[in-house]
Amino acid sequence: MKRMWNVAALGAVIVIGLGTFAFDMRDTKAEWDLAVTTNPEVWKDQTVNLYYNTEEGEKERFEVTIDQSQVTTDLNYIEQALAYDDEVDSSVRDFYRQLSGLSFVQSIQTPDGYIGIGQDGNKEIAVFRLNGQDVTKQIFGTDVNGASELMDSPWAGLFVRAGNVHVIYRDGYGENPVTKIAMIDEGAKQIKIETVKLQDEAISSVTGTSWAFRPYVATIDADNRFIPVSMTEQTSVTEGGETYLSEQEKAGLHAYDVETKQVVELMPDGDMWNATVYEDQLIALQEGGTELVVDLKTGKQSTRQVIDGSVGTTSYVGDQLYHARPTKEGAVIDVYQDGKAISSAVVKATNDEAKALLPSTQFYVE
Amino acid sequence: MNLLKLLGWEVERATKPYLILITLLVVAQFAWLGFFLWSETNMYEEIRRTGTPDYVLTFANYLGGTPFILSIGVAVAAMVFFSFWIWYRDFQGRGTFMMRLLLMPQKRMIVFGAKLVTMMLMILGLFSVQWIALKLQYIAFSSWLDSQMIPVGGSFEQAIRFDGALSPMYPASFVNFLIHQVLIVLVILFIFAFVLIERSLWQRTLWSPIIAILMLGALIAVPVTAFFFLESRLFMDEMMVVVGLGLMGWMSVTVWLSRLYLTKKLSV
Repeated sequence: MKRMWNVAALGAVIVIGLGTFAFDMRDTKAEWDLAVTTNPEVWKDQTVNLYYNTEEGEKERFEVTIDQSQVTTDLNYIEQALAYDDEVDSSVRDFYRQLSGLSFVQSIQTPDGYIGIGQDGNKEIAVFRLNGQDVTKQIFGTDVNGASELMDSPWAGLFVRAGNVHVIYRDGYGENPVTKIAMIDEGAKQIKIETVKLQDEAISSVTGTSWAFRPYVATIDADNRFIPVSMTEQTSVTEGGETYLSEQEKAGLHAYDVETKQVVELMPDGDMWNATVYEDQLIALQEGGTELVVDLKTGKQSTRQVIDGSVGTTSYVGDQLYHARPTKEGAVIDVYQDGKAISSAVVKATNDEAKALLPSTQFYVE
Repeated sequence: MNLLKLLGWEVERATKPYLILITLLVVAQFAWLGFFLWSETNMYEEIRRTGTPDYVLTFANYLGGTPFILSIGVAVAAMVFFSFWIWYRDFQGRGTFMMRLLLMPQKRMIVFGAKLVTMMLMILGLFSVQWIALKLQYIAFSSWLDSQMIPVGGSFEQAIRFDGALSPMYPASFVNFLIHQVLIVLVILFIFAFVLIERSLWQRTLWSPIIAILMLGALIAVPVTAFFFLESRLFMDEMMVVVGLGLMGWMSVTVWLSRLYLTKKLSV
C-alpha cells in the first residue's frame, strides 16, 4: 500500500500540470452567424473568412457559412485532414493526383476543363487535361527542343490559344531578362518558343493562373485575345557611387495581345489588387468603388459605378464582387455582379467571446 | 502480483533518481532565469544611461538561451537512458532480480506493461512539472521586468508556440498533445524491443546488440521507404491515414517482438 503513494503523488502532479495545460490550450468559444438578407442562392456554397489579428501576434481564423461557424486556427492533425478532405473535391482528385508528383505545377480552368502543366525535376514536362472524369497526360522529355530551357526558367503563367497550352516564362536572371512564350503542341509533340519584345521589363505573372492545388478557380475562356499580366520593370539606381539594377512591380493594368504579340497597357495607374479574370472579361475594382471591365476578346473597355460611399474590404469570386463593411455587431457583406447589387448578408458575433474579437477582425469572402 | 503492485514497485525504485532529475532541472532553469534577468537589467540600465533603449524583451529570449535548451536536452536524454536502464538494472549482478520477475506465476507481459506505464508516468510527470515551472517562470519574468520598467513584448502562448523545443511538447491543440504522446510511447516500445532482443541473444552471441539494431533498423527502414515512395502520390488527408496505420503497425510489431522475446527466448 505504501508503494502506491508514490504512484498517486506522481498521478496528482500529472493531473495538476496537464490540467492547467489543457485549460490554457482550450479552443476559442467565439461563434459567428451568417444571415442572408436577400438572394440566398448566392451564399449556398460560399464561405466568409474571418481573420482576427493583433499586434501582439495573436491570430484566430474562422470560416462562416450559412450552416455553421468554425474556427480554423490550431486545428489538430485529424481536423486538418478532414478539412482538406472537404476542400479537395473528389471529382478533381485524379487530376491533382497526377500533378502532385511534380516539383513545379501551374494550372488554369477553361470551359473545357482544367489544364495543368508541371515539371518533374529537370527530367520532363507534363501537360495534363481534365475533362469531366477523363485525365490525359502528355510528356515532353529533354529530347524535345525547348523543353530544357522551359524547365530551367521560372514560369509566369498559362493561357490557351487554338487548343494549345502556352507558357509565359522568363529566360535568364539579373540584367535584361527576356520574356518568352512556349507554345506546347501536344499533337506534334513540339515546343515552339517566341520572344516577347520588351524593354527593361518582364512579365511576372499571368492573372488567373494558379499554383499547385487550387480546385476552385474562375473559368477563363480559351481564345481570349488579351491575356492580363503583371509586369516588372528594371531601373538603374546609383547609391554611394555604386550603380545597381532594381526590379519592381510596374503600376497599371497590362495585357499580352496574342495577335500583335506585344504587351499593351490597359490602364496606366490602375490597381490590380482587386481584379479577376472571368471567362472573357477582366474586372478590376478601382478607387472610389468603380469597376473597370475589359473585354478580353476585343480589348474594349468600360467603367461602371458599383460601390457607393467608402470601400471596405473586397474580394472577387468568379465575376462576383464581395464587399464587406464592418458594423458594431459584425459586418454587412454586399454582393455585386455585372455592376448591380444581387445579394446582401450580415455576419454577426453571436457571443461575448466573438464580440471581444470584433475590433481587430477582417471579413473576406474567398 | 498484479499490475498495480508491480507499478508501485517500479515507481518506487525510480523515485530517487527521478526527484534528483526534477530538482536539477527546476533549479537550473530558475538559476538561468535569475542570471538572464540580472544581466538583461544591467545591460538595459547601461543603454538607458547612454540613450533611449529601443529593444523589447520577450519570454522567447529567455527560452532561447543555451542553459534552458540544455535543461530540456538533459531531461530528454535522461528519459531515453532510463528507458534502457529500467530493464538493464534488473539484469545487473547475476540477474537475480530479473529471475525473480520471470519466475512470477503471472504473465510476463505484466512486467512489460508495468515498465511501460512507469516510463509514461515519469515522462508525463516531467511535462507537468515543466509546464508549471514555465508558468511560474513567466510570472517571475514579466513581474521583474515590469518592476524595472523594461518593456516586455509578446505573450506566454506566443513564446511557447514559436519555440522549436516547446511547441512539439506543448502544441496548441490538446489532441495533438495526445498524438505526440503516442509517438513517445512508440519510441519507448522500440527501446524496450531492443533491450529484450539483445538480452535474449547475449549468451549465444557477442553480436546481440548489432542483431537487435539490424532487426529494428529493418522494421524502421521498410515503412519509411514506402512512405517516401507514397508521399508524392497521396493527398494530405490520405497521407494522414497511411501514417496513422503505419504507426499502429509499428506499435503492434514492437509489442509482438517484445512479447516473443520476453516470453519465449529471454535468458538471464
